[in-house]
Amino acid sequence: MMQASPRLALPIKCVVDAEGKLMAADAAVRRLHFGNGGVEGGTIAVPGLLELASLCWRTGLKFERTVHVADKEHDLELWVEAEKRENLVNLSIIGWQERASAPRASSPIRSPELGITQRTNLPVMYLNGTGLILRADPALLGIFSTDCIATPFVQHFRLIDEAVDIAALLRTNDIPGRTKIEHIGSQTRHDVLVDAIKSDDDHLLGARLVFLTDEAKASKAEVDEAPSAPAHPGLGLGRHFATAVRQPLGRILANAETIGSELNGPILEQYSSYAKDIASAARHLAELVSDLEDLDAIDKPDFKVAQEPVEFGDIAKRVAGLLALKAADHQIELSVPDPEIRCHAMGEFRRVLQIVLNLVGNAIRYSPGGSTVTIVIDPSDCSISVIDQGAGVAEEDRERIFTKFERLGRSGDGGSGLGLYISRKLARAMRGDLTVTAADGGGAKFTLRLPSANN
Amino acid sequence: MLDAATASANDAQMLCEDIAQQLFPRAQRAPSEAILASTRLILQNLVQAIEAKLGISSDVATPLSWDMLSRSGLLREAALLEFALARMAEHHISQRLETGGAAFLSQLPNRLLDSDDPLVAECARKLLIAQNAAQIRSPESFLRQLPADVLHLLVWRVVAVFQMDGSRSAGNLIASGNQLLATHDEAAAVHATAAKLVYFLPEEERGSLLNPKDCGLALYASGLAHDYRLPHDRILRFIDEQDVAPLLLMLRGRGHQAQAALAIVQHLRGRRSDDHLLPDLLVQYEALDPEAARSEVLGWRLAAAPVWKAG
Repeated sequence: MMQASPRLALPIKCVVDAEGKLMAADAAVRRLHFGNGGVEGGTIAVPGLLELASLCWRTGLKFERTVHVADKEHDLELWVEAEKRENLVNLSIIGWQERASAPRASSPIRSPELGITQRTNLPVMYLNGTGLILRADPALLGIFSTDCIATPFVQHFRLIDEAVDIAALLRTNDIPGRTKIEHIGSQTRHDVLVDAIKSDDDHLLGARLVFLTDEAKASKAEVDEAPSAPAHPGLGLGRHFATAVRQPLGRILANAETIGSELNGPILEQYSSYAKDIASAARHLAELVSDLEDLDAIDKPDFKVAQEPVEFGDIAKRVAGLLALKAADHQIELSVPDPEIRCHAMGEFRRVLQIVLNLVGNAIRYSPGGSTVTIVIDPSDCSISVIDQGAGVAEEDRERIFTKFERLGRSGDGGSGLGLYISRKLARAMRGDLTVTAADGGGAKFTLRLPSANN
Repeated sequence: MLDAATASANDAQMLCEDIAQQLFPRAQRAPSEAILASTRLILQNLVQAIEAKLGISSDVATPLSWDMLSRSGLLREAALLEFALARMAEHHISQRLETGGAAFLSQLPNRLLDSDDPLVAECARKLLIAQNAAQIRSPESFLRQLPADVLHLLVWRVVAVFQMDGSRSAGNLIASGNQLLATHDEAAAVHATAAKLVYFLPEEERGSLLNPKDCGLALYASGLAHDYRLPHDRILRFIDEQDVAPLLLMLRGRGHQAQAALAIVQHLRGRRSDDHLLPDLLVQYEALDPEAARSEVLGWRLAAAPVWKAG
């Protein structure tokens, strides 16, 4: 029933922020995260860990609990310690145990009514056995927002007919159940067909909800048609491209990192080296996919960014946390601004984070070992700068470097030539700018200026 | 006049909810007076212990915030009620074990004190301490057994009542609440120490978890909880249920033969008025496929998941 020795020699760690975003993680957690369809810097896609982190964040208390996790191959039971420190939740996995897998669903959907709905391509939402929303058709995410993924279904929807209890519905054989639900946020009502997903031996694994309402159908049709008729001057990759590519890439990356980190035991040095090469290539491809996705988005005429207060000190701290390991790998010291210095700008938080991550990532990549990368905040100018001690950027290249696919003759270093182009476009979309100058004593100084939130 | 009118208006809504609960109960069995009284007593004990920690003393037996808490619906929390029901079940089972001459503290945790694995030895030590403390049924001991998130919820509701009352300094109340939460150690509760010990138990000791005589009630319940991914407290309630069927199904899912299952049932539940039904049940038990039983019990975790309750 259980395997021996669940105890790990070294804890597996990860850090989650207030919104459940995975800020840093060891390879094993990254493997779970990407395996469940998580994205770099996105909400941790491991529902049990997310739930524990949220509980810890909300109460500020320490917890030690088991967390059940399912990836595609195994059911896992983890022993996890959770503690809130400052603005982050630290999760430490000290026990890792494979459980006898709950049988997987392999039988086709048994409902004839659902068979019809599948042929007519109605939007579908999937829940796991504990009622968390695992996946939803992009058409539904358009209506209900992407934030519903990995959160309890009942947080977002309620059953209109109180006599019907979804849990009971799923456990009985009286399926499919057609019922009405109401989206709590928008108060829109939807007819849904509820179908239990069961294994060959009738073990309940989760549920599938097919939305029958006109709004959902219309949204589905809109989404389905979108990729074939791009009406914008972007790359025309379609909304599904990045998602479709990122997931297998994530798995390659996570598996390669797991092998390379020798989590499951020592392996020959050459194989470890191969695994690291694979991980490196996959990471490069993943970054390229992200860049292409951003490029596709920002080149659209209707591209918009949110205007919200963003604190540069907070951004610097997060970036330093995310890239500390990378900097250490390159023997580079990361110098962050004095935490007392506060500078409130207006922009979209995740986009500002993206820009500064790109700048610091570049600085680490192109700076010599033993040097320092410094993040500086200037409240009088409402700017944040990243200063490196590398070769610098020649004056004649300082505009060219912001053009698409410009690498200044570099190759094979993992860059795509899109990062700075995208960063400047984003900065300008936020009514700011991104520029480069020479740093005192050599090196480059990239400066992001945004409108001040105080104006 | 204003207050009275508002109270009356709110009462009209509450009355609907109360009537709905009484007219349309969802459980098949109506709770007995004894269950209601015991549940109330345990909840009062918890509130009283929290009030004491907040520095609120009173001469009366009922906690000062009780009336407001109970009337406002602030105690209508499934997790709180499950805790109270489980403590009742635990008390009944423990009493029976003691009456039957079975030691509450079994050999297994004592033996594990000498484990080569320091983590296991530490877990065993903590379990023995937690069990020892829990044997004294006092408001304080109930408080120590509360899961941290449930305590968090309850503490701030008690604080809120006294804040609304306005007779005490809000700053002091909040400071005391924070102090109480900071000193609470969920990991020192019986269910938590037992769960951790079961999780890290060496393979060669796992067989002991199949028999409550070997491992004791806490580890036995935690072993079942671990196998079936159900909450420890829910297992205690299943063991103490009037209907023996849930326990039998869990035992069948573990592959016990009928006679072995009967011995466990009688050990944990003692003699019951419906014992005459057991022979028939055991015939059905024998006919039941262990895998089917296991699969069925694994499905119960869906009903145990709190996220569904709002649906």
